Amino acid sequence: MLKRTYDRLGCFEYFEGNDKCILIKEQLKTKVREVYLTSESAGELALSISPAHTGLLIGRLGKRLILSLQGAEIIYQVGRKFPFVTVNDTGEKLVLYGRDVFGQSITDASPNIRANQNLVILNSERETLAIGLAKVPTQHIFKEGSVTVLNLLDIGYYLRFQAKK
Amino acid sequence: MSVYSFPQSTISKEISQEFGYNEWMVCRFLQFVPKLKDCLVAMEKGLPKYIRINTLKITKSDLVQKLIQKDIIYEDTILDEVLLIKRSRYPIGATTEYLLGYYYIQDLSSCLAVDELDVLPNQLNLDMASAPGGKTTYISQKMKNSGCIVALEPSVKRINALKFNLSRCGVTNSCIYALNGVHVGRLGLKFDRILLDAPCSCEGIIAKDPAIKTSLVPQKIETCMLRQIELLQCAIDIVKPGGLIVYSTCTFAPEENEVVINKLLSMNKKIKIEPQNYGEPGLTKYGDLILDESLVNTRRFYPHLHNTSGFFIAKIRVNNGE
Repeated sequence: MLKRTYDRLGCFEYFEGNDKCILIKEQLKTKVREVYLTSESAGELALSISPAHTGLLIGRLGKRLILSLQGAEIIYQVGRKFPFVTVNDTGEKLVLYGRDVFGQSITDASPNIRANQNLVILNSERETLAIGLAKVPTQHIFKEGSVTVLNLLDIGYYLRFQAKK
Repeated sequence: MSVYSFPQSTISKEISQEFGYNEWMVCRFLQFVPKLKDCLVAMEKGLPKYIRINTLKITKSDLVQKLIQKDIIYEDTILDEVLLIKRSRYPIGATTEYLLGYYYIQDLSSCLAVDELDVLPNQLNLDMASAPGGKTTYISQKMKNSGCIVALEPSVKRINALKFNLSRCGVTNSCIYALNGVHVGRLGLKFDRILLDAPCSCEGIIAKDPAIKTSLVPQKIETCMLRQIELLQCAIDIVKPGGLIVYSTCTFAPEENEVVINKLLSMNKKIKIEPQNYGEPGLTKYGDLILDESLVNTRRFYPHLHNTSGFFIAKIRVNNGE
């Protein structure tokens, strides 16, 4: 299933390339299977002596692969087939505060976005700010005054979480 | 081994009153900190802000372009990847570039410790006390995300911060073990390079935590010293023949620096102290102690001389048995 996903997202060669290793680890308590990208050596070591954490968490595997923020960032940068919206500077600031995206902040979007589809939220430099969920398809995504993309997880999350604590 | 104390004087009394330090600390500083008043003045001013460019995610020229766009004024330093931030309209720990992992806020002295480790791609390396991950991510960067960097951190809470920073910086060659450094032998591994940035009394970062001026007690220095000796011996036991260990602390206390290395030199015939590129030579005399001559190769960093936090670095080569 993973290989099919890579192929669909245009990043098969990246993940199957040299000195890279994909590890799938099942969490004992939750039974959730987590997918990690590691170097070959780190992967080998993790298989022989189980670590608390290894490499980059790419996503979680259920009926399909649910990408993590880092996973989405890599897959978007490598494959360019992952759906996206691009936001302006105001939108960028709001996303980094954990806010959802209004139509008027969106400056560009993939042509094929469906409602309830996961996507990456990019800034004007095409850098990954967040994973989002489209509320509407592409043709309605620029609609002013409405939240058209939900912010599921953004790169400012951890620092906000720490600040709250 | 116990912590040295030195007699009080008019000068020590005057300085301790002026800067708000315990007098016993000032009496000690007067023995080994050059131009002590200048040093304490520098610490009152606060630490300079440095960023280390994360070349796993961005090139120096691209990041510099972004800094210029944001009106962030910077200066180059002795390390190519490290910039001194002179002025910024935004907190540098809250920019998009920071969150994207393009740079790590890290003192120059910490970066120098990693630089002295002579890290190469495809090695098996160890960071014995890794959270929150500044040095670990720099090691990974120098390894070009190849090979493996093993990061030890016993505290689950601190592992979360470590995971965040490793993820933010795009590190894929790491394995984190929830293990105290003294138990590293349990992994049964031998390493090419080991960084031991040892837990210490933190005298060198008083600018960041002024409470240390009055809260530090000699027993703390002694406790740290004993733990450091234990940790460093563990490191020596698990480094490959010909391998390298960098031992560092952010304290001025010779008991946690040269005295620790001196003790390990007396316990291990197979190690030698290698010279370094920057910093003030380490002490070879302290109180009535005459230390190994090779300790001159260790390095001390002072806020007023090097524009860094107070820091100590020893570069230890383990002979390959020839």
